[in-house]
Amino acid sequence: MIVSRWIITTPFLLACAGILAWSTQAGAAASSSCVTCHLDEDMLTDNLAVVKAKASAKQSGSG
Amino acid sequence: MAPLEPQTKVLVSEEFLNSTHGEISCEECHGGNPAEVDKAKAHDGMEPYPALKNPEKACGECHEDIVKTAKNSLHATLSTFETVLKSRADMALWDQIDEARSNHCAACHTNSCAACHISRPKASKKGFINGHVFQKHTDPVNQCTACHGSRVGMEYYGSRGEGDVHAAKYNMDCVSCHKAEEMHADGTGLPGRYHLQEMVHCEDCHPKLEHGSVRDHAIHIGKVQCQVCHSQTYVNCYSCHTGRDEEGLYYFVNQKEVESMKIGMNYDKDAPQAGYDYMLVRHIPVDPDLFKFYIEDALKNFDQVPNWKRTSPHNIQRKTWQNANCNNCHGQRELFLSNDDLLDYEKKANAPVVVAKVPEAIKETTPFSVDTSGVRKSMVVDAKWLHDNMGKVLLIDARSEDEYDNGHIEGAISLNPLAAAFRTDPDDDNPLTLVDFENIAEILGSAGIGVNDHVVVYDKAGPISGYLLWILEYAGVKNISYLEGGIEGWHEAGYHVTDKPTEAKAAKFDGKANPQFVTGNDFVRANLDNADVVVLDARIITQAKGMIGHGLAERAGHIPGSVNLPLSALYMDNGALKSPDELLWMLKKYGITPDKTVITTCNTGQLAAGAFFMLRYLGFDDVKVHDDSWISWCATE
Repeated sequence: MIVSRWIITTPFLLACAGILAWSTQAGAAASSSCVTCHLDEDMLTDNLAVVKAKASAKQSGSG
Repeated sequence: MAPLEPQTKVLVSEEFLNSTHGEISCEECHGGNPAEVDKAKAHDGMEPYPALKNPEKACGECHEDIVKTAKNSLHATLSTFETVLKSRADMALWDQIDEARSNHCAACHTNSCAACHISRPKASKKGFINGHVFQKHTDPVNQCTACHGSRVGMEYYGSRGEGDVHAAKYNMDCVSCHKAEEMHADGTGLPGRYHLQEMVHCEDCHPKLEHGSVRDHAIHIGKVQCQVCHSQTYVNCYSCHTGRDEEGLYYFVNQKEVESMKIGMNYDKDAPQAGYDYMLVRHIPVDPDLFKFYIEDALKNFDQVPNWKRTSPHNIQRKTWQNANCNNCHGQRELFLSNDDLLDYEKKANAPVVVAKVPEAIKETTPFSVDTSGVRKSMVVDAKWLHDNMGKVLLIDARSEDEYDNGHIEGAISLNPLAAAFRTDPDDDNPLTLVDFENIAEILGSAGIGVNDHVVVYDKAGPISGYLLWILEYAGVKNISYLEGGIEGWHEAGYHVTDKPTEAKAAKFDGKANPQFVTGNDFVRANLDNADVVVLDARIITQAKGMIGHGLAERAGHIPGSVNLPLSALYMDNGALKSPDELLWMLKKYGITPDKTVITTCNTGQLAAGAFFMLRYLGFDDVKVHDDSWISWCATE
């Protein structure tokens, strides 16, 4: 059959590889351990201190 | 703009993870070591701004065409800023000048892809504005006006003047006009920013007006820049000086800011679509001693470039005072830049901009007049009048105690209405409304104010005085005045100040309340459809439109049918005032006329009170401050 012959051809195998690559890439940020912290608001609140940028008392105007 | 909370600055949202850009792993753009559990090790080698350092890699792999030009865009390089600085500079000293520029100017004037598409820019303390979601449409509040704030943003959204018709009437934001083609365009080698070919022009949306039905377009197009007729006054900054203080912190100091309007000659007709003769010019704060802290005579070629520069104020209105009548421009010498407007050191640099001969007044024009007969002139006094009548008035300084201590007009008593307990606490059941009259009378009595005194009030910008003057009129003080120009106007007039406080002579205040000057939600609600009643919303456009809220309000928005006229349309910068005929003409544009009952409203009553005073001065009889204000209205309606 035409379909079964196409299944074992190179274009089909390349397409499968492409889909596999795309599916592993999809949601890559979600699978990064970076977001374990950066999605946790409570943890970030506890761990990030308010850093007040010090401005000169002589500064005037905002440009 | 208040900075974001630290955790919000770096909090990633689920929306981002499900977006196209969420398909890329974090470390691919930012580096770092995601496998590490320790915070410091995980962030070792991480690049927080990958697009700033390497746009080709961070963004260019997918957006190659955009990055190719955007990396050289004016936002990315500010090349014209440097070009103009170089034309004034002694190039033998350029390395030192460039270092000074980096320490001061470049702290704000640098940008990357992220500052328009992901985060707040550096100038407004950074942080994701939407959980790291990439936004094609740049956020006008959090991004564009975070940098372009003091001029563009404040003009556009009504923190200076009426605001811009494109925002107020047509809900247009920055990118409605300034599209990607302009923002991403390559700005390499331009002599000035107005030379960018991709820059937006009024004619892009308003073509061929010279063939339209408006007579004045046919007369003026090609000779006069659109903004000359369609802008309001705008701020001009003077003499920026840079340096480092005793703690080593960098600073810059502007000598002063002045709201005005000046028409100059077009000295740069080579710019695209700029063939006109007359244009609006703005004083920019460059000064020969700008970098004196670092180097002497750095800008030895200061004369090469004007520092009254072409400007495009973002406060466009279809009807303005200039186009209300031919002779509001023609023959008005003070509206055109003259030698007298120039400081000694800038006369040569601005010679091409000075208008030597002002267009003559038109002899036959359509009759134009505004009825100013009802204006209560005694409610506004100037510095000279006050100086001549010192001792006959009770003078109140409405600024903060610190400002009073640093120097005030001799004889003035300190009474800051924002610090005095005229209003209930924010956590009261009826927050920030007037307290009982007995309490108000006690505060006024403690300040030595009597019901028959002529009370003159001043501050720095005007509206705080207006707020106190409303309270005084409500409390029955019969003779009240506002010092035009406030403390800066006093300085400008050459009069001295003192740091010696004047003690108030406390007395019993025996005034009677004027309840007709205050109203609440019920009256507003009952008159929403009353054609004889106008509700004047004195807040900025972004708040009236519900784009941003108030900390004490449950939601953002406005009272149905209210007319939004920002308070800054009634007070100029530094407490100066426009002429009564111009103010009355402007109010009429909004349907606000002295024959009507006007309810002034805002978030908490403070701006409304400032508007109240100006309307009373202009001759309005029936004016009421909506004391419940938006924070109460939005909780009940």
